[in-house]
Amino acid sequence: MQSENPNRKGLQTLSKKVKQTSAFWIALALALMMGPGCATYSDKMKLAQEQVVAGNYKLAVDELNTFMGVNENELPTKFNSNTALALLDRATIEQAQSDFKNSARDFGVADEELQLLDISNDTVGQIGKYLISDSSTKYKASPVEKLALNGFNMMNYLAMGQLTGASVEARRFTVMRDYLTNFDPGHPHAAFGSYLAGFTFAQQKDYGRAMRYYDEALEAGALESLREPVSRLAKLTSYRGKNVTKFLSEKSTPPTPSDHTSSLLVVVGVGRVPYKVPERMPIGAAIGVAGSYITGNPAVLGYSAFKVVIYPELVQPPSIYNSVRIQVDDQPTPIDLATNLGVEIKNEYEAIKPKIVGAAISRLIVRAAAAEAAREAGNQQSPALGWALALATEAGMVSMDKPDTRSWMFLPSRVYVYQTQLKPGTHTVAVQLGKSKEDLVRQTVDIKSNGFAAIVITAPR
Amino acid sequence: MPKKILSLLLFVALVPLLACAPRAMRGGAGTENPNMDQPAMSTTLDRTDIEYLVSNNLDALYDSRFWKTDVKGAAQRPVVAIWPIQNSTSEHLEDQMLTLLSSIETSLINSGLVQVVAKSRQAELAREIGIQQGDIYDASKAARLGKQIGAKYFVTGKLTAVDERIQKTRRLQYTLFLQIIQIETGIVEFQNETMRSKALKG
Repeated sequence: MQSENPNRKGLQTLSKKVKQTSAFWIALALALMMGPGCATYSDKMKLAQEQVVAGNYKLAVDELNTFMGVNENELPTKFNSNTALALLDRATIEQAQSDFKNSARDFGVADEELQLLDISNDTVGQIGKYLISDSSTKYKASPVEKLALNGFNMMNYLAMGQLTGASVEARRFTVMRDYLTNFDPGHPHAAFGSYLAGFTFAQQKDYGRAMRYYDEALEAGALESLREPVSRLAKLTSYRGKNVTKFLSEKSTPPTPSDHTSSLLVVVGVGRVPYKVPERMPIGAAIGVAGSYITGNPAVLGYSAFKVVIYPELVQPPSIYNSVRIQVDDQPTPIDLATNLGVEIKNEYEAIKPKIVGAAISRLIVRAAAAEAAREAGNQQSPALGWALALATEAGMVSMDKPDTRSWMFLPSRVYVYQTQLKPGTHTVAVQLGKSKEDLVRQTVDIKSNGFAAIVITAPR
Repeated sequence: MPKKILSLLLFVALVPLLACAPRAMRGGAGTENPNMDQPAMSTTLDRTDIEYLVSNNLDALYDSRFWKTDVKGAAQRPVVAIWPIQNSTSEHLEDQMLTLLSSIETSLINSGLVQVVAKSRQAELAREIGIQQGDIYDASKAARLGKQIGAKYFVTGKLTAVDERIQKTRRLQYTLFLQIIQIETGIVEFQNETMRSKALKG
């Protein structure tokens, strides 16, 4: 047995002091280093957003390609939640560039990937959501986004004149609509999708089905451009839904001239839906918003160094195009606002906001509890170390808590629709977006007898 | 010594990476992976599904009274044309529809009992009449096309799917309807359906 050496004891004390001081500085450095936190999805999309607002769609696509790590026109080989979402955004901008073929491909792939993410189990993500951040989970597209996806892809196929592809998207739209109606009855969503599906099946001479879709579209309100087709279809099918019945009884429509055998469809998507950004809310106000959605004891927050909750809040991007006017063969024609996706996204968000804030508070409670445990452990050495460890633990966990700002950022907000029967031949359609002359889009189409043409203008600005 | 340990650690760390590198492989009958085609990869139709749907329908056709009397018993081999089979599902199946049509065509030709109109010639004439790929069978257009190509029967059909979703499951129930229509009279001489389901479960 060795006797205790006084020099050795002194060294141990010194070493302990050094260790405590080091721990303090390491903890502080860690807390400061992690302070700024990681970039959220909306942060990463900032450059692409700026390009879209400026109308530089090509550069916006380049930004998205860089984000996904792919070359031009290339599909990602590896997918995570953000990749599928970025692909959805790229598809929208490709549509804005009238690159309907690539847009249809990208929407299709994003649809499959989002479906896989939706169906797959996410145990790790759910644990991460409770401990770290909402963005730890796999991205689940919102009901409005899911329906809009098939609606926008239907536009691509119609613009390319491919009825089979459009009818496939129409059926996918219906599957999703039925699925969502079962979970959330009484809320008609994305009426423009029903309108386009009705047009598609009318072109395929499936009049009963077309009428059912028009009945769905009319659920959201009277669409004047449906007067003629509904009246025409009423002679070809016996189907009458409650909205079609009411619509037909409202006013009579003059019969279409017999030589007007060609169909013209115009779809215009403008503006951008609100997107999410990180926002701070004082803890007291947050508890009021979250109500019963909080898990854990909020009393522990009294010890917390952080008195604010960071959560994703919706913000409305400014819209350059506030009005849409069209002319067909130089004749001004009214166009229907079929869907305001911006309002639908906002309503959807407001409904789930307490749950989102509740989850953020629950994580705050977990962090405060973890910090207290670290303080207890540190206090056994010294109160300063306990304080430093508590601060570092909480700050470290805060820095990892990225608000989930993932959403389909470039989804156009308002979708306008118009259709008419014309004589076969060449026709000119002028679409005025906003007020300036540069925002006038003029297109010429040649439509065969019993054929159709679809003009799709997408401007997510 | 530390260098050796470091190298060893580096090697151990790299081994899983090497193991995870993608590698190409060959599969199917006569290869080292005979069952590679067996697992379902998605809810769309794969080759196994197409083979099943086509062979079941054609077996029923070759076993039908129509085939035994009107085809086998005919003085001359009847001329048959294939009308595009309509995709009425909620899946984009352009490539699968081509495989499906080619499989039907191959089987009919190899039966040796009918003459099949070449697809290229038929497509050219169909375009002239205004028939598009995926168009629904239209009796008046079919009569015109049939006369031009000199066919007695059209083989046509429809692929449908009941698509449902609940919680973490999506199920598609595919049905391939196959029809033989006498062009001149519009009479359906033969009809059969075969089903196949695919699902995606979470």
